[in-house]
Amino acid sequence: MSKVLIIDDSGVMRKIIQRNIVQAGLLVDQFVEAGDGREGLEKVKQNNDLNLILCDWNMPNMTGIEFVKAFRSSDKKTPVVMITTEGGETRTEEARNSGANGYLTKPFTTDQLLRKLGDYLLVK
Amino acid sequence: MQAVVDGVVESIVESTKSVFKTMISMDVKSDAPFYEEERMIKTDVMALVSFTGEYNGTISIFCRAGTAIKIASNMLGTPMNALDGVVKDAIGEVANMIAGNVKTGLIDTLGEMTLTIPLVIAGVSFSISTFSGDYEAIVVSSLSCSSNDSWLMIPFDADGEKIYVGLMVKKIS
Repeated sequence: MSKVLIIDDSGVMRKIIQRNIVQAGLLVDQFVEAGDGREGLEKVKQNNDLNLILCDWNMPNMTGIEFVKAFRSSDKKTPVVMITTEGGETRTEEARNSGANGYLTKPFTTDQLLRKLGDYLLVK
Repeated sequence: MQAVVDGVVESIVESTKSVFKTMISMDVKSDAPFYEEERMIKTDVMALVSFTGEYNGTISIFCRAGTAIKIASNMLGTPMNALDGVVKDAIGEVANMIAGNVKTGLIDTLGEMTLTIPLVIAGVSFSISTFSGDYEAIVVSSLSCSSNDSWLMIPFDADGEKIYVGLMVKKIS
């Protein structure tokens, strides 16, 4: 049973990520969605069996990087992959130093998604 | 300044092509950029992302309602029928990805920049007056101040649909 939390302020992007995960053949039983980092933390409290968290960077109320820092203060294990338009070495390093395990820049192909998430989810 | 603008335009063209090909399954062709006075722009949808840093400005998508619906339909892989919140969300995300890629591609020349969350406005052939001339409060001041500024408009053709990506940029002294 694998459960993935997707945090992105765009509902369209949350659906696109889900569709691409399915198309990539990654096995996910349940998706949980949140519209910003604050809601993401609430979803984490309600779901203590998450296998992976995918998180945007620029969001209202609480950004993705703020979420990662807050999340890592209590959970060191559950992998977090940033999926964001924010690229560049400075950003990726900041994400890594804050506790993110991986980084994927939008736009992305299904193959790129598979390569980034294949370490954390089973593949068909 | 012209070299900076040329670099941003080139980056917008590449980013737009990449976003449309990868996320929307549409091949777009760009045409020659031109300047358009803001008061002359008529659009159904405007999706803008502002950036601040050494250079401040805005990148915005302008298109007709039908074009926005087609883009959203392609993105979601399901037909959309109206210019609703989902379509606006999709167009905002397109603007977000284009601006994000431009930012990433130009960090070495323009320095670090901060992007705003996309703002999407939709209506029927509305005209715009976004800026007061002071680019420091672009989003907050939008749609309430009149301006004689011009947008640098980059036209794209996506399967017969016209899309314009507009740019305003100013160096902060």
